[in-house]
Amino acid sequence: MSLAPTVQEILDQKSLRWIFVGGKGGVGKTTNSCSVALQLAKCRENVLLISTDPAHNLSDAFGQKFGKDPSPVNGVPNLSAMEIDPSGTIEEFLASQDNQDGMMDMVQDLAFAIPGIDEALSFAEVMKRVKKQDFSVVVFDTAPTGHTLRFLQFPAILEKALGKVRELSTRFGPMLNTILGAQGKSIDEIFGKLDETRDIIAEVNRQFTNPDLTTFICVCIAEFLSLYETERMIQELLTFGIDTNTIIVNQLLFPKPGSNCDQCNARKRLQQKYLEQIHELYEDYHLVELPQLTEEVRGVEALEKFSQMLVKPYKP
Amino acid sequence: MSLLINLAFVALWFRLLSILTTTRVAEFLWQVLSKVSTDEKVLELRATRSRLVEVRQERTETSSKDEFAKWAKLDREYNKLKARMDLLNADVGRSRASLQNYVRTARWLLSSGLKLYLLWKYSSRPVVWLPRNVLPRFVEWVLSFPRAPMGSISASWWLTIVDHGLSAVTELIK
Repeated sequence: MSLAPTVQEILDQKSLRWIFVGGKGGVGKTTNSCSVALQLAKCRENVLLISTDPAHNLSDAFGQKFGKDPSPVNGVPNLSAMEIDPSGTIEEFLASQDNQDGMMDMVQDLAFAIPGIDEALSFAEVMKRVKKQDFSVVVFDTAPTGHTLRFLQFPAILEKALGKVRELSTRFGPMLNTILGAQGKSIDEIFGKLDETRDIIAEVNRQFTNPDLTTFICVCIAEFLSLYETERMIQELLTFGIDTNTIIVNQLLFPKPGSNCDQCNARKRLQQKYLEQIHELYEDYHLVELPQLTEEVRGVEALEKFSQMLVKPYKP
Repeated sequence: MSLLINLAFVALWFRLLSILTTTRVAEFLWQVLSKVSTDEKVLELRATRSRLVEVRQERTETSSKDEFAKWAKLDREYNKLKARMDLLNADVGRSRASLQNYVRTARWLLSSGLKLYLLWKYSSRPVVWLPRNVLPRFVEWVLSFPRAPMGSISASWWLTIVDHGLSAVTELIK
């Protein structure tokens, strides 16, 4: 018995706080993350949609400019959106440190050489802003590079690395302090920030690996490479311990009966082949099948219509 | 006289032992032991390894484009088996390392340890009496090092001489 081909289970699961929507290669990730957010806004008090893609895709999708802080989406009650540029966060942080001297630079270089630290810092920034306004659920439109969650692999490494950096500078810090004067304060600031980040990441890790709180929706298309990428992504999520139970298969062709478009028919046959494989491999997942539309899905109205198909399966 | 020949045989023994290096002996013993071992980890490792090879072969024979589901399931099984095998290898590797240690110790006792013992025991015994007044006193003194009587060759020198001779012979044979 297969599961319902809708996202209804996710909508019904009130305990969920974090929903990721991911998928590589122009599969319609943003359209779907906006649609999921729209459906959630109908049955939740306060929904936040976040994008970390520098390409401002949320602003394009809704036809409204979004910034680093949550702003309500025009025409959609209970929904806010924000777009943050991860690299911007790091530059801001660095610029805010005014004592620029040799010791500081060295410690900074050490600290920022830790792998995953830039994603971790940007996530920590997001978490801080999110905590300020109490949102019932947050939908993440993950960056196409798929590196968004890489830092989750590293909490242990991050801890060790931070520990090492601390150790090194407590050893050399006092010595340099006496030579250079009162540098201790600035170093403490940096460590304060890194410790704060580490604590937030540990908490984030706990929440993301809890299936009652977090789930990941994979978006793909019925083609070989997308399927391969999806399988790889799902195995990676399993390694991280992040729950995933829904796959959206997008851009499916439904040529009119009697259509004489050879390309459409050929493509449809290929898609059918891969769709069968998807059903066989992911038999314990919700598989939502969405059609290829004839127009771009942009604007609240179009997105509304599209999002209906997430709960009411499309019939050609 | 008998000491001379005995020591010569001992030198030969040391030479032979140098062929049986620690690694070679340890490897050999390991192969033998792992075949007859009833340790559950070793058995599981063998079973996992052979299943891994089977799965890998099956996966290579499956086309990922035509039968993606089957291919992906085999790939998942392969990754799981590989992870399990790496874990077992680490465990079993520890036993292997300790076997190597045993072999190394035994070998040392039979070679260097034995050598030290013999040299200590026969340090003051003359092995070969040199003809009198042929070599200068200083040379005689050196050759009797450490404690053999003057005018004789000591055990340690004799071992060295025989060893030299044996290496010359092995060079010729090669």
